[in-house]
Amino acid sequence: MRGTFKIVIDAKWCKGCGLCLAECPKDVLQWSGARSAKGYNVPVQDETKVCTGCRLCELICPDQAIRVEGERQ
Amino acid sequence: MNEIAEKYLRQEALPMIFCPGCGDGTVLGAFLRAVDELKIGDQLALVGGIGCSGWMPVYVNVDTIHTLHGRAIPVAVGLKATRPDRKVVVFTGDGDAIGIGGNHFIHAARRNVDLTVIMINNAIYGMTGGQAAPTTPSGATTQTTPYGNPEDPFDACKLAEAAGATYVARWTAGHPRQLIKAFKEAIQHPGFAFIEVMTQCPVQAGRYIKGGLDAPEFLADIRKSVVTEAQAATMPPEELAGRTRIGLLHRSERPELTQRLAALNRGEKR
Ligand SMILES: Cc1ncc(C[n+]2csc(CCOP(=O)(O)OP(=O)(O)O)c2C)c(N)n1
Ligand code: SF4
Ligand code: SF4
Ligand SMILES: [Mg+2]
Repeated sequence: MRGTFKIVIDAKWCKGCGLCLAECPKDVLQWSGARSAKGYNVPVQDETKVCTGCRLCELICPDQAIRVEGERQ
Repeated sequence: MNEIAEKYLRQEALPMIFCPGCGDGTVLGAFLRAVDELKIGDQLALVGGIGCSGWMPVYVNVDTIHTLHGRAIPVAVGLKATRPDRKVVVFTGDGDAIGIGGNHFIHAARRNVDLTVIMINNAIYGMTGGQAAPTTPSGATTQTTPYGNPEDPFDACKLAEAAGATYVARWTAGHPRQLIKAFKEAIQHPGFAFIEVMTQCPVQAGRYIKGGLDAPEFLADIRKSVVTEAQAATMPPEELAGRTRIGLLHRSERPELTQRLAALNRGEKR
């Protein structure tokens, strides 16, 4: 059984590099299109996609902006 | 921000100076996870060289020395000799480690000093604007090789092994899980441990060498250029040609310098 995961991206630290989008095997992250205070396009979780909690996005994010909430079951 | 970064990074020093999509932050994140798993945060002492990569330890909330260009390793050797209780880890660039600091590098390996040296190989001098490094591929265009690099690069891992390093591994910024494991092994290894990490530098190497690849494209390109021993075993020769070997490349045992010095100080003959 899988858990439910929430991808929290801190707009304060995200530099909009796109590595997390490319890394996610389930296509869960999408560009928000909105600009952060720093001027970056910060990704958001697409709620229609199924996150498996693999944390690849959290591990690849160079600016440590991502937190995956929820535990794998 | 994730829990590990909240626990170990100096919040007041953020954001990190690295360009968007630079591999340095990913490698630092993997290092912090290795430290957390080993529970050795309070034994750490980090030493950085000069360059983008030299900034990596500066963001970690532990004892840190930011040194001069090429001199991170000799400072670390001195630190280890006086404080053998510390786990001393060096963060250095390809230019820092095997360009200007090349002699320090080979002699610390020869002496088998108990250090962990993490060399960020972006194949260029990133911080100063994209000049050719001793790791820049032959034929590559950089700021200082506009007609293509007429030199051949060093293989830093072969250099480390030949000089006497007793742990040698190579991974990429696209292998964070393997990096965590390698960092744990290297920190626990009682001798000179060297890890080369091939990273994407989308801003300098990206524009000069890679013709404008963005960070995800650049990382994909790096992943395509490497091969593990297991993958190589089943790969046809034409596919294998030109790929860089990643993984644990060498491991051996040999007396370690600071322990030999301690024995001398106790009056034992060595
Ligand atoms: C003695 C000295 N020479 C030259 C410089 C200028 N300098 C600063 S960083 C750097 C190159 C850094 O390249 P690398 O070690 O590969 O690190 P990167 O920025 O690519 O991570 C140079 C030449 C310096 N700071 N000190
Ligand atoms: S990897 Fe990190 S910095 Fe890059 S876009 Fe994703 S959240 Fe932002
Ligand atoms: S110049 Fe390259 S190595 Fe330096 S921070 Fe930018 S992307 Fe990273
Ligand atoms: Mg470099």
